[in-house]
Formats: sequence, C-alpha cells, structure tokens
Amino acid sequence: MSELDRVIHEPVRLRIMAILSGLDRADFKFMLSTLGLSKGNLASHVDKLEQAGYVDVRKSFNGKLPHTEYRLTQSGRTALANYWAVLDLIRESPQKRTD
Amino acid sequence: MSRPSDARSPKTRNDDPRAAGKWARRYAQNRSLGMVASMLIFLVLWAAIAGPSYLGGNAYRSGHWAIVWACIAVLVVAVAALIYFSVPRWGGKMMERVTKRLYAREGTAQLVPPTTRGRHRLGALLGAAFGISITATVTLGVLGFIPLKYMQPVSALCSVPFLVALWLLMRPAGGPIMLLWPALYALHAVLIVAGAPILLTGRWDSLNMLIPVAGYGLLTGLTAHAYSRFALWRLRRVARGGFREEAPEDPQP
Repeated sequence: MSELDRVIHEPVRLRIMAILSGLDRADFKFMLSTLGLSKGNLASHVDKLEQAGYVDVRKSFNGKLPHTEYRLTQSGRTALANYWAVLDLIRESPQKRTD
Repeated sequence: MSRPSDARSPKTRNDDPRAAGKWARRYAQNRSLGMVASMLIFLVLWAAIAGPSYLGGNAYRSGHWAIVWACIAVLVVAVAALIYFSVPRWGGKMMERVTKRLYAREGTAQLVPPTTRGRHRLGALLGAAFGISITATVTLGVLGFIPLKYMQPVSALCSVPFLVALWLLMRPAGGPIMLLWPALYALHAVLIVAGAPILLTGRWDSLNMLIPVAGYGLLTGLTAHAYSRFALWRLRRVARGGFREEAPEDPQP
C-alpha cells in the first residue's frame, strides 16, 4: 500500500474512477459530456480500467442504439480508497519533515 | 497513518479530484426533471378537469347544451389521461421515456436504492397504508366528518410521514432537498391549524389542496433541478480541471 497504483494514477483514469465512486452507474454519454474527452480516448481509458478489474462495462441496446454503462467494481472502490490513502501519506510526509 | 479517505469524505476539498465523486452523487440525487414533468402534467390534467367542470356547470344552468357536451368530452379525455398517468405500468414507463429524452444531452448517472426483499415489502406496505389513509380522509371529508378547511392538515398526518418514509426507503437515490416537499406540506398544515389567513375561499377553495400537493411538489422539483445544475457545473470543473484533452484516438497507456 506504499506505492501509488499506476493504473489509477493517470489523470483521466483517476477522474473516471472518482466520478464513478459517487455513483452506482453512469453511461458513456454522461462520462463523455462530463469529462470532455473524445469517444476513442474515453473508451480506451475505460478499457484499461476494465482490464485491471476496476470498472464493470455493460453493453446493451436501446432500440437500435448501442448503450454502454459503467460501474465501479468492489475491487475498484478498494483500489481507489487505497490510492487516496497513499496520496495523503505522500502529501503529509514533507509537511512532517518541515515541522 | 492517515485515515483512508474515499470520495464521500466531508473533508474533501472542492478542487481535489476526489470531490468529483461528491458532486456526481449530488447531481444524480437531484436529477428531478422527471418529477417536474409529472407535476406539470398533473397540473394540466387538474386544469382540464376543474375548468370544464366549472364551465359545464354554468352552461348547464344557462341551457347551453353545446358547451355542456364539449365540456363532457374534455372531461372524459382528461379523466382517461389521469388514469393512464396514475398506473405505473403505463404512465410510469411513459415518464421514464420522457425523463430519458429530457436528459438525452448529458446522459445517465444513477444512484440505485438497495433492492432487498424486506425493502420491497416495506415499500408495498407503505403504499397500501398511504392509499388507505388518503381514501379514508377523502371519504370522511365528503361525508362531512372533517371540515373542508382542515382537509389539508388531516391529509398531512398521513402524507408527511409517508413522504419521509419513502425518502428513507429510497436512500441514497434522492437527496435531502426532496424533504422540502413534506416540510412545506407540514408547515402549511401547522399554519392552517394555527389560524393563519392562508385559506382561499369561494371559487378558489379547490386550490387549498392543489397548492400544497402540486405547488410544493413543483417547487421541490425545481429547487432540486437548480441544485443538480450547480452540482453538474462543479463536477465538470473538477473533472476537466488539471488535465487537457489528449490527442484524439491516441490515449496514454
């Protein structure tokens, strides 16, 4: 737990994880409009998080339109909580040295 | 070692990426355009029933039969529409489609209430108890056992606990702003019992129930909607801050 998770540490992926941590589920359109990314960029970052087992991706159809839904897995929630904890430790350590 | 912090930490700084979870949750809890649309439909249907009833009565007394039949036709359509919107299988699905369309540009973000069998039973029990108590209140009112001016305070005795219990049952899907409705409804009831001059008389007396039911509901929905706009603005600021859009189709590993 002393090292930052490299999968989450990338800024876009960190924000994807942070947004999903406050929700039960969000769809592709919401993530796209909130993050202001291109479709391919968002999809490839989510792909990385899915491969790590942090995000669950569910694809379905709304009529003829494809619909993609994301949710944070339990291991994703744990990994994010650990990430914040390690980040807090790193932030606190130089302050302690100056004290 | 510091406490492991999550996105729901109250100490979260608003410019910190972890605040994104907090604002996303607040946004999802207050997406109330569906509720506003329901209230507006309810108000339109109320007007479509109350208006022709009043006009039709006057036309009947003065012998204008064409107007009477026109009013009856409008009433039949309005009552049929009211039944349609009151049945969850029909109206509920339609409102779901309307809500999806209203939020089509920004997509879907949801908080889902836990669906255990106990909660499901409790929800059904609450709904049944509320239905019985409201029916009893209306029946007692029609039979003259409850004075007309006390109809709203008596209905508050069952509506307010029902709305609060429903909010608790649906947590975390609805935010605290949703409690504004039962709070205003209860305050209205207390003011009537205390003798405050807020009761309408004459031809406007039917508004004494409509304002607390649909008016406060609409006010709550609009307040929640305004807050959801603010939460979305904060969320986008946090979510887009600190990094720029990378080259399209060329993500960093």
